[in-house]
Amino acid sequence: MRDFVRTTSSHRRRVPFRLVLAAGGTVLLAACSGSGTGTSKNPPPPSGDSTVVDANLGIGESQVVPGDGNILKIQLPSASGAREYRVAVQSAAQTTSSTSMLLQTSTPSGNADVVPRLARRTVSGFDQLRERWQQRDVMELRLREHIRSFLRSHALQPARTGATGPRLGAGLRAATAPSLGDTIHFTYPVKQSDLSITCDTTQSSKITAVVKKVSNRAIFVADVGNSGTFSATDYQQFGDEFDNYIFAIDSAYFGGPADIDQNGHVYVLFTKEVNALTPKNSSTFIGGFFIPTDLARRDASSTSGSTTAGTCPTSNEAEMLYLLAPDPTGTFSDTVSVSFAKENARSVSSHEFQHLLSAENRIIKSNGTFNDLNDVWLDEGLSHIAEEIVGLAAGGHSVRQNLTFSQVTGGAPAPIDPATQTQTDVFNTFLLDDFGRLARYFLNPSGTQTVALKDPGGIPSLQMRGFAWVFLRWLGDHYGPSGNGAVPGSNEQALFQRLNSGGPSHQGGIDDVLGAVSDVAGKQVTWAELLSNFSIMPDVDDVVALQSSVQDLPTWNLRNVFQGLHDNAGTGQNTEFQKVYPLTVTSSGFVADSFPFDVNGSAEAYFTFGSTGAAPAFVLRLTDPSGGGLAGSAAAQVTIVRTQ
Amino acid sequence: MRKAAAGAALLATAGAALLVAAGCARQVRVESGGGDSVPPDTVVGQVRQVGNTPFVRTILQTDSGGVQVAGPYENEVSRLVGARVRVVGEVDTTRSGAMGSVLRASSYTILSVDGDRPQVGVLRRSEAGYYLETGDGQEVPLSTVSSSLGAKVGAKVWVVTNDAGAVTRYGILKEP
Repeated sequence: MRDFVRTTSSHRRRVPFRLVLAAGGTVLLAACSGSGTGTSKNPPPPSGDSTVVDANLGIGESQVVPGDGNILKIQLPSASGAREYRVAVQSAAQTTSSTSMLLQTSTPSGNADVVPRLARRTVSGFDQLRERWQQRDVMELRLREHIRSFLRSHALQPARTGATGPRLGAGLRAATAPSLGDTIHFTYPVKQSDLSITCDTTQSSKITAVVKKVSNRAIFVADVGNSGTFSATDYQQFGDEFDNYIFAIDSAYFGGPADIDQNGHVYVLFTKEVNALTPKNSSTFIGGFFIPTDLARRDASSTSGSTTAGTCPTSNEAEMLYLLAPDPTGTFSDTVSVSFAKENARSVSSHEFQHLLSAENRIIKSNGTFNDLNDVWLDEGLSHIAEEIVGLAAGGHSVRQNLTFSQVTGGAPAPIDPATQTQTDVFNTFLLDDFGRLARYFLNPSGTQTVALKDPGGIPSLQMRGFAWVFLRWLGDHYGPSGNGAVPGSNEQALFQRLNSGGPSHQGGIDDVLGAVSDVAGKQVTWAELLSNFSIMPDVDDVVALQSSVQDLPTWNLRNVFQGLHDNAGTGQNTEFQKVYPLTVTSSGFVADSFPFDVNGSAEAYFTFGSTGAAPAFVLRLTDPSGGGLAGSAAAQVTIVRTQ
Repeated sequence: MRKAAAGAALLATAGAALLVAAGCARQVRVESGGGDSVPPDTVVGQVRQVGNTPFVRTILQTDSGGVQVAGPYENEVSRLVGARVRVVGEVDTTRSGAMGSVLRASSYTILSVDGDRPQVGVLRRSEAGYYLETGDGQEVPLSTVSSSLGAKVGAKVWVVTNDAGAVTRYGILKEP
């Protein structure tokens, strides 16, 4: 007989297990009422054994049961009253993989005549919506694939401080911020014909732009070929917002820029070339981007040709963002009104600036290489956090306040610009898209390619981004230090700064997450432990008072916000918000049934089992698809929470 | 790159393996391409995808750093994020720099996915059921295939099976 305890969180009820039977290949883990500490040093039983757990939970209590390569059997007791359990079946695998499983339910007492409160159903609609969604993102995928191919075949050296910056007009020096009205000549490496990127100046183009505004932190320049223009008032607003919100908050959260051109500013270039990348009559558009090759070393002796010695002659050697320009006449693609371009610029800047900061903090500032860029899911997730935190600050909100829909929308003036901006304006500009992506992830949680991923493009990319945002939001809420940072409510920026730097060893992806939690929060956790706490959160947040607070999302009341989005006339008809709460959950009564399903690595499938009346003893049996032990490599685990 | 769909906005309302491999324990060589005229380089490492879209690159992370994977198999290798892979190819030394070397892959072998060594082949279906057509022409029967995987007949896949030949884990390397 061997005793061990599995605890996954100091916040969670510790449930000690005792191996009480090892006969016939069956291992029984009984939940005991006593206390204990320690971690199992025993190897898992051989495949085909059964892990049996009695889960006698109070309302709000949870239990995590690892698969460990076994058949996993969870026994729930009978009760005279109604019961409801919410279950997340996860694979904590860190690879791009799918695991096939079979969940069988039974009522051993034969008391299956209880009328189920919940008929078996899968609350989704994803399959029906998928085709429509895929219509919307063809353009994004096309651009991504073409430009990606460039960096696959070029090894570039990063520029270092003292880079020469873009070619300025006569009499201007790079290390000095240009002045209003100055002319600057940028090199543009994206070829509109096939959306590829080049370091060959014979294939790149030039953009001549005029400085329209120099704020404390940004140089706003407009392509002289644009068909529309912003007003001086618009540029003033851009400057104020960039300085006081985007630069200030992004830098505090993700580390400041390297300032390779030593001018103390970031170029924000509004150019028709961004517009032209989207064909007319597209249902989507490209709002802007940051090009890492602008951080590559430009060989001063070479103005054309290939990337000899890893240099890139088309680099602007400067911190730069490229943004959609107004095009009211539709000269370069579909018409873009000044107001639309303005709103796009405000939100896209925060996202792209994070990418720039991430690249510079991991490469330029820490003597890294372009291979030290973070994993895709984490880099994109941090940029979606950037949108969120700027939006929260712009609206005068704090993190960890369990924000509701009414709190973040409405007609009240927003602090970012009380004269012109309401809370709803701010929500639409900075926060709405994050919830749209989150909805897409919720609609397909088991099939989303979460962390172990190549960016899949199209809708799967948006699903990945939804996961990445809400995972990082949850991580910041629970592992970020307390106090007040650039956004009130916590000092989580210390965690995000650590994530964005990768630490001294340039950690990326999951290693980066675990390293940041260790370095900043002082907690040694495994990926499986983090995932078990996170993955039940979408289904139980603000549903019941949880004994384990780490299973909640302190910043947002997700159900309330999605309800508001569903009810709102402006968003409720959109595919993302057609469901009151978009999470796909398979629901059933306490009856014998069988549920085959696949779950991706670091993803989860959700189930709810409940009754309105007396609940019979109920058994969940999780196996591989043929009824055998779960694949040990899948790192399968079940998190179960009693909610009634 | 940040991409958005137009038109979604709130109205301002007042309220608002183990190489079980079905008994077939062998090392799988995935596929070979050309490039025989150049002495091959072999790199073993863990697959990563790094960077921000649209500038994402596939990296083979080794103890001594990272090697960028390029060439016709880059797309398949990119679908093995987290897996341990051996890539054979040609290192393009002319493009070496601070980003590390670029390895143009002519073949690759999956060494481990979460500790399992999978079988690789094309998913097929006959009247007898699903099977895996491997590169050396063998047909490996698969007793149980999930509906999601079953929809991928014709795809190049890796699979891990249990003793009964049921697919317990899988990944798609190349769509049908």
